[in-house]
Amino acid sequence: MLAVRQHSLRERFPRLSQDGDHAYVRKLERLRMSARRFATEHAVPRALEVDRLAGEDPRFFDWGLVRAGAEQGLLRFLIPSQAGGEGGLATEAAVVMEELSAACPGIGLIFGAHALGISPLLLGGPTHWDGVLAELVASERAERPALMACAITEPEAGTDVEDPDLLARGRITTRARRVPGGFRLTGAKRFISNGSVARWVTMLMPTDPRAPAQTWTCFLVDTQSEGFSVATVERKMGQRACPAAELSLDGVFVPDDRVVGRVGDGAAATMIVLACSRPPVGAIATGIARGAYERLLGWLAEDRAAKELRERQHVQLQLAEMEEKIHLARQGYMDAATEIDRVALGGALSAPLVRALTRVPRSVRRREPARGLLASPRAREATVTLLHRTTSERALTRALSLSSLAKAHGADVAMSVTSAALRLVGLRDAPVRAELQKLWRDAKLTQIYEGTNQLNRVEVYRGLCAGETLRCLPPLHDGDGEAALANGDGAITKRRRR
Amino acid sequence: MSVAVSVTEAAPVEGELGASAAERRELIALARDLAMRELTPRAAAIDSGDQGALAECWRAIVEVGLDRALLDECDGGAGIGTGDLLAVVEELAVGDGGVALCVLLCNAAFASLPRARAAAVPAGARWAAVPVGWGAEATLGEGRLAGLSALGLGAYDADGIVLALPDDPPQTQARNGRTGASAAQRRGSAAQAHCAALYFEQPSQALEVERDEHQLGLRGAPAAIVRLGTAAPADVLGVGGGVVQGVCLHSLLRLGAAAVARGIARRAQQLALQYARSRWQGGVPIIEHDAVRDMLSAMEVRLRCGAGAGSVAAGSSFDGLASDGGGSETADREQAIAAKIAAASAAVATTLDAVQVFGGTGYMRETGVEKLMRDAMCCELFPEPGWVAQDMLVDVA
Repeated sequence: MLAVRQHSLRERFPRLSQDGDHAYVRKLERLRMSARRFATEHAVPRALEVDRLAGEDPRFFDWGLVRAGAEQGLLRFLIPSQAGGEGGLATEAAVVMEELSAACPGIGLIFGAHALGISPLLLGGPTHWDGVLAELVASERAERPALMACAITEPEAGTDVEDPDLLARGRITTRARRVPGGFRLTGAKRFISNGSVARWVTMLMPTDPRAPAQTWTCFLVDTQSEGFSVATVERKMGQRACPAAELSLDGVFVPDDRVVGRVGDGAAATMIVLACSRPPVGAIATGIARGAYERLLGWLAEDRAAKELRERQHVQLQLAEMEEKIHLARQGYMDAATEIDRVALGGALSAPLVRALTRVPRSVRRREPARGLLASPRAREATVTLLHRTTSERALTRALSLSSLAKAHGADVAMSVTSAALRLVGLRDAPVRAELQKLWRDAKLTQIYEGTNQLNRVEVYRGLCAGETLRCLPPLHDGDGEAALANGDGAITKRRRR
Repeated sequence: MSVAVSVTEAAPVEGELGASAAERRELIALARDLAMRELTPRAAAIDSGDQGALAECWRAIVEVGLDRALLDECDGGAGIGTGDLLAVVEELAVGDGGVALCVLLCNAAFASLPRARAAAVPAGARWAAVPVGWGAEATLGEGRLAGLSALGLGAYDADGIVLALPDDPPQTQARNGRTGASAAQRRGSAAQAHCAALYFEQPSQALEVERDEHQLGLRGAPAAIVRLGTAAPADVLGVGGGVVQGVCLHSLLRLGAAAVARGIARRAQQLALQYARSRWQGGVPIIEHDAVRDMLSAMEVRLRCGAGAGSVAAGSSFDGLASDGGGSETADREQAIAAKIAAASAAVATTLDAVQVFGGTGYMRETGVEKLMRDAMCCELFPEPGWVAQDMLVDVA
């Protein structure tokens, strides 16, 4: 008899049974259950309606879902514990995203895009713990949750901005101009998930458009700033619950203390952010496939008209193939997430300096001179130095390649499973058809965002097939980063190592 | 550097009993002009559910007589052959797949009506043939068809509906859980046993029509769930007696679906090529990147070799069968099934690749590429999914 079973985390990831860190496994399971609760109580019942409403009006956005998700901790799983969050990384994000996406990938993406917006701040060091991240937690506790977004893509540059080699030759039209006390940002960013509803946006652009790769820099942009506007909200084929917007910047002022990391470190930061964010995208895709598979199983088990289909070997083989693909896609994203969390960045997270900082009370950190020290160029340099001491470009390249593999493979699985499920149901007068059609539309986006599958496979080739080592770490400077850039020390090039 | 592929167009094929090559070329030119002038500019509006845009397109179709082109001239039609109609449908599908399917369904419906009945249908009326195939449910009471339910593309707001009863072999039906439908044909009255198509002028009390609110694509052929009344007596049901009946009607629909799929694939290839030449990444047009070239070349191969390239020829040979009711229905059906499977799967693959070539832009509705992807998937599911059609092929082989 067919039945949809809910599996525990250990059943889904058999290797966790051997993991000696029981507290960590318990934490993951707790997060997964929170996501599941939200998915069951809010995402599943609202999925089709929100998709329809956002299809009619792309500016439609359901803040009720955000508030309900915030209650389950879905806005803070990536925020460091020092700022009041769960202190998760790629693994936590991936586990949550699979659960949400099995219910509704569009609703899941609201929380995924929020986490992506937070990611660059984690690399920027402790400067932001007590700034915007603490503010996000506070607004959530006050039941006025705020969202973040990350803006990388430009109208003329999509793939270009996700690869340093292409970035150097890309048609970049944004620019951050140095002014007293900060920068003024000009240009447009496109396809920004959560862009029209975010309170804060982490945004990447060059300070010198003639050398975009060398001067690519991350800024934390307040969307209430003068000169910031939402030009359009796109009409998407799927994942409509999360709006994608074109953002227009007309001389938006960003003060120096909202430069994330150092000026010119944006290309390396993008590589690390992508290494962290692609496993969760692989998990979104796996969740979509799982959602289609579970709905199909449910229909076959319960619908009278599907009774004979259950006995067909063709159908049974299709189901087995779906189970197989979903299982392998899941192991793929878990491999990648473990690699980035425990191998590539694990050393940095457990470094004595970081541990010591976590023990400094927030009240002390927020007071001068600690506050000024944490925001100083010296603290930013120290963050880069720490990364150099605790990880390597080879380790990050390998993590990026595994992440890209998980993302591209998962996306193909999502398309394949949703297509197969749709073909099994066909043009039947059954409610499950609408759900499967939606998941099929949703699935296609996973082959495109976070770098097209083609670009991701180029990363797999470089890191795993050719054994290249990419420059994923910001360079070490002695002193001021901008001055070093002026001397040409910040060139982003790839190095081959066998 | 220029790319070696070019946009593939329909090749006129001279059918044995169809129009001459020159006449077919004229028809194709007419349909192509109509598609460019009337359909392409309105495709996005139609996809958004704009009934006014759809009505405008239909008016243009009716003006040139393509809605009833299969009927003889003496019955108010254009008297063209099936192969010619399929060539026209393919050209129209380059403009909008849904409207092209409507043309096919309307012609199929008129061609399956008794001649006198078809000739009496008022000008401009839109009928739709609804294949009651896989996925439909039917049960039979003595002398009555009851509880039949099917999803019909083009059935919503149609002036008349022709239900084409299942044509798959009983063993295929049994495996797919449609014993009721086959039993209806096996155990029905003499009239029912022969009748492969039932027609209903709409609105009809015997046939309930409810709009499908979740139509994935081909929205130019608005879909509806059609349900026979719980006890619709057989004597109020019209029995088909036109030039196209039974197995032939299903085959015509499958060949038509292949033609629609091929037109959709051609449009996707056109758009992808244009975009690949104009979009720059990494300092060069993306057509210079192997990742994109691989997809473009695969589109070309599919269109030249797989995407229902033989459907028009199959339609030409089908003409003999349709006009005199003779010939080998089984062989004809096999050819139609194979053409439809090849064309639809090629169209799905081509449109998926086209969206991928466009990247994020292709996922947005304004480019019209994602619409092609949805349309192509509907072709794959109509009148039955590819795996069911393949199964039928084995049973009749």
